[in-house]
Amino acid sequence: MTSTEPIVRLDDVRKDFGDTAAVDGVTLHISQGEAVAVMGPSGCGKSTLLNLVAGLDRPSSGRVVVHGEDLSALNETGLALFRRRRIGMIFQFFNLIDDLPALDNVALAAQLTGTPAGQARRRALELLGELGIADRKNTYPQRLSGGERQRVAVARALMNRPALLLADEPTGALDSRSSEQVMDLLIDLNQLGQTLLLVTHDPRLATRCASRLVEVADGRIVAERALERTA
Amino acid sequence: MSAVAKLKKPFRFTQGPVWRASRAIVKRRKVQTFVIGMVVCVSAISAVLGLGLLQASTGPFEHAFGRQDGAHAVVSFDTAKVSEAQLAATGHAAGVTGAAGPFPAGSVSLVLGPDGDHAERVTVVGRPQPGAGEVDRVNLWSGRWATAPGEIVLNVPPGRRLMGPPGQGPNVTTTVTGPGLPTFTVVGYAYSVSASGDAWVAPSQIAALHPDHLEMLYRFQNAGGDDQVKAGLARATAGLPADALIGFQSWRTTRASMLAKLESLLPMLIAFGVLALAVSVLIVLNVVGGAVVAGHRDIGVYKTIGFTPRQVVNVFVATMAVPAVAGTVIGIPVGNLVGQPLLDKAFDSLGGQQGISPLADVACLILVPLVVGLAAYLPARRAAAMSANAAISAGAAPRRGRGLTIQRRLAGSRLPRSLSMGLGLPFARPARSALTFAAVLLGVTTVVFANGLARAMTGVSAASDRIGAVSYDVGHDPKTPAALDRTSMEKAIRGTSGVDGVAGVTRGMVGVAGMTTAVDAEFYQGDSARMGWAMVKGHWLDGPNQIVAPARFLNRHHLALGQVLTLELDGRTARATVVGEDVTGGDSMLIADWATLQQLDPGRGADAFEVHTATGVDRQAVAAKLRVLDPAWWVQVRDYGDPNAGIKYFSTLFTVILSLVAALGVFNTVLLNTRERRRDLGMLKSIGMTPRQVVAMIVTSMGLLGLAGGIVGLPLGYLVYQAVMPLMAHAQGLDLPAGLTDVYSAPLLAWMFLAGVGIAVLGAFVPARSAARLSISEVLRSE
Ligand SMILES: Nc1ncnc2c1ncn2[C@@H]1O[C@H](COP(=O)(O)OP(=O)(O)OP(=O)(O)O)[C@@H](O)[C@H]1O
Ligand SMILES: [Mg+2]
Repeated sequence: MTSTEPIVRLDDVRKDFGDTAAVDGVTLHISQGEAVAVMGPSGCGKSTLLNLVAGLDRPSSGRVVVHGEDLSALNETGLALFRRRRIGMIFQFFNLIDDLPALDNVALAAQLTGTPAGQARRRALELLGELGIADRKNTYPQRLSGGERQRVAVARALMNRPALLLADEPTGALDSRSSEQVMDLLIDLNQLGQTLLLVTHDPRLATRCASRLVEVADGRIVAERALERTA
Repeated sequence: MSAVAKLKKPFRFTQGPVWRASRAIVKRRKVQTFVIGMVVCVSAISAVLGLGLLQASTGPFEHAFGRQDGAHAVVSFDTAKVSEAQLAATGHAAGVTGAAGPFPAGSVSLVLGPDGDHAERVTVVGRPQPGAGEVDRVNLWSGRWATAPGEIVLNVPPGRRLMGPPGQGPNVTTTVTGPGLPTFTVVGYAYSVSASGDAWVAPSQIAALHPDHLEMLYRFQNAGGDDQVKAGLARATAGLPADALIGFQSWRTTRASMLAKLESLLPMLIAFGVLALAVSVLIVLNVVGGAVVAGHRDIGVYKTIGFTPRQVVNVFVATMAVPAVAGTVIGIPVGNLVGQPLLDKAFDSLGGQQGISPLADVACLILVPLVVGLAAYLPARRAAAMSANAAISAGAAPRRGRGLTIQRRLAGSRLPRSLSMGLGLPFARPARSALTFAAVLLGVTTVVFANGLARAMTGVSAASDRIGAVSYDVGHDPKTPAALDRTSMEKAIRGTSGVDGVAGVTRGMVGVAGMTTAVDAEFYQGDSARMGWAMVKGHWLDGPNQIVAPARFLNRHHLALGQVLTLELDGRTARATVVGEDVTGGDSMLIADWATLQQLDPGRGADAFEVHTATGVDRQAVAAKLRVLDPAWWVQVRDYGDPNAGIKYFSTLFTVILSLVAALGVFNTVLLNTRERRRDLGMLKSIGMTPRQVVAMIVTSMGLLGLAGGIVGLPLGYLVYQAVMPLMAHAQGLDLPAGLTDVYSAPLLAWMFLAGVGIAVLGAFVPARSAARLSISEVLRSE
């Protein structure tokens, strides 16, 4: 642990969908600079857990505190502002806006906070450069490869310098070469101090990128262990 | 095929894959199905109204006349010259296809009307039943027929009661009488399009009314024109004494006089009818076509699991079947309900219409589902022809060069990003946006047109009634002795505080050299310039021997300003120059100055006074002061009610309906857009777009269409107004001064310009709000 106050604190969190408990009494603390991988069988509640941390879902019971903010105290607008400032998210299917070229997709995240277009584009270009796809800045998502798309998505997630980067199966839709690129990217980011929370089926992603592994089954944490990164 | 297989065959459709797939879609897309049903319903309503109006406007008299089997000729015979039997025989003459009568009839003075203050010369007919015979089956629309002594039925168009409804308590005046006549109780109101009488009594009662002629009603084989009616009548009466026929009235004459009252409304009705039809077709295309396009993904999926293109098309057409049928079935009766008062108002002078014509209903019953089917069929066929994969990816918005460039520019603009994204949205779906825009456009056009029309008509009638300028009319009953004579009365009125103008008026019939009939003349004295006469051309009376007259009079006699007329009265003559054309609608009246009257009738005084009050005074209070001057003089506050209630009703109704339909179109577009873009929305929210930003984005996207609708709709509505208003004025024989038809003031225009934005926001807000509340985790989970 690099800091005393954890950046994510889930205390006995539960999330029900109807009769089924997708998340069933999870307590999980993540410290600044950690890279935590959540693994488990399909339908065990990994994405739900991630959504709770991002404030996309509200817990049925328990407390979610992220970067010192108790999410249950925030309304929808408050949650949106929280995500904007603290959270970057990447998804299995990228979720880029098809009508906008790579650069504007990335800039969007900053523009929503009121950053002027020019400034937002400059920072976006910087990020694309750091991720090695500056030459694709004017390309529309449909013409990008899967790996490129995911890197654009990562750039967008990093745009507002989030305290926490959340990734749900970031390599789930990628071939192995693209997966490697994205994994390398995540490792680099974490080494620069970016706190990561990854959800994945892929043991390679977990073992390469994460410093800690959390195993979930039926909405509960069943095992937790520190990892020696193989990278 | 075995017997069992044959039996099973009818069930194939309901159990087949097409039916099941479309049922699944209907179930899954409840909101969409509901919206489509709503839109179809509202479209059916406005289509029924539109078609009903158009249908009623083509030959409105003929419709009413045909319904009653109206009489081609209403003929009076001299009781002394022919017998009833002789007349009854004329009904079987060659060329006569139907006849009613003879009915004994008399012309008497009866006091009618709610005021009950003056007797009118009316024709009372003794008739056993309303529908006696196959001609002139009058519409007994209230109460019952007169059968007993002392009972009478009045000829009044439906809804226009002269007195209280029959048999409604002792407080209501339900009796009529006249000099030297018994008192009659009104037991019913009926309406005869043929104008075969002003009132009816039982035949046994007619003797009390001193009948002086026998009435016969004929229908002829050929009655297209007056000549044919005359010829038919000559043939039918060939065997009668030459002087037995006193007079006759052709249906063409009745038609002309009734249409004259109606014609001014027709251009407006047709304009509204066309607008309503256009909007309903557009909206259905938009909504149904949009739903199919939004269903492209489903189309792709069905194709991958083995549906043939034909089956795919069938799925989508079947999906629309439920809302189309439900909407039509609900919409048509509602349209009829809404349409009834509309038609009654519009065709008041023809005794109203018996509702929307069944033809319009049937047409809508066929056409509305047909348009829905077509709107579903065309895009579905296009989608079905695509490869499965192309269809799946086409479910997302298509990307087009220009739309992308615009979005790119917007991304770099200084606007808040949620607004600039909103502005870019319409370009992602240009065809859908165009249809939505067109619906908003027609909405704005209607608002502008209807508003202008209502204002102009109100302005015209206020101008010709001079409401606001003339506060009171003061006059006296010649039979009551007055303490104050005319001169002292005028002085007394002038002396009353609050009054700042008095004009003496004297009316009379004068001859005009070169004209065959006498003309109704008004002579003005005093402050006539204050009395609000609006002029189309020339100027108001400002010197001796001047004349002002309405357009219809001037046109009828081919007169121009500057021309000199010679007026004649009891052997005296006066020459006066036409100096102005006023806005009133008479065709046999003129206004002249006091000097002219003095030449025609030296020493003649004013019969009545028009009184003008200073601005801001309490009119009722001043009226009270005037009334105590001399009770023999009556004082009437000038207020003629609203003669344009009908037009206002129309404009309001159509404004509301068409705006709502347009708003529904916007609503649906937003629904489709947000559904197609729910992943984008989810993503935007995941990166911190607030609910307010989401609403702002979506409302902006439609606001842009609304704004565009305002920009184009404003001039369009103005053009429609400019086209229709003169037609209406022309139909009434009016020349309208520019001041009265320039009804669009800058603030009004600004408001109407915003109507488009209003419609857009109205339609967009609710679905935008629900999009803002969309659960992100659910959206991002899918796929
Ligand atoms: N919005 C929702 N409504 C209803 N049920 C839900 C919802 N989200 C998740 N669930 C249910 O909660 C459980 C956990 O779902 P979740 O998506 O978190 O699983 P997961 O571990 O991410 O699975 P996978 O590895 O397949 O992505 C599942 O049973 C799922 O059906
Ligand atoms: Mg998941």
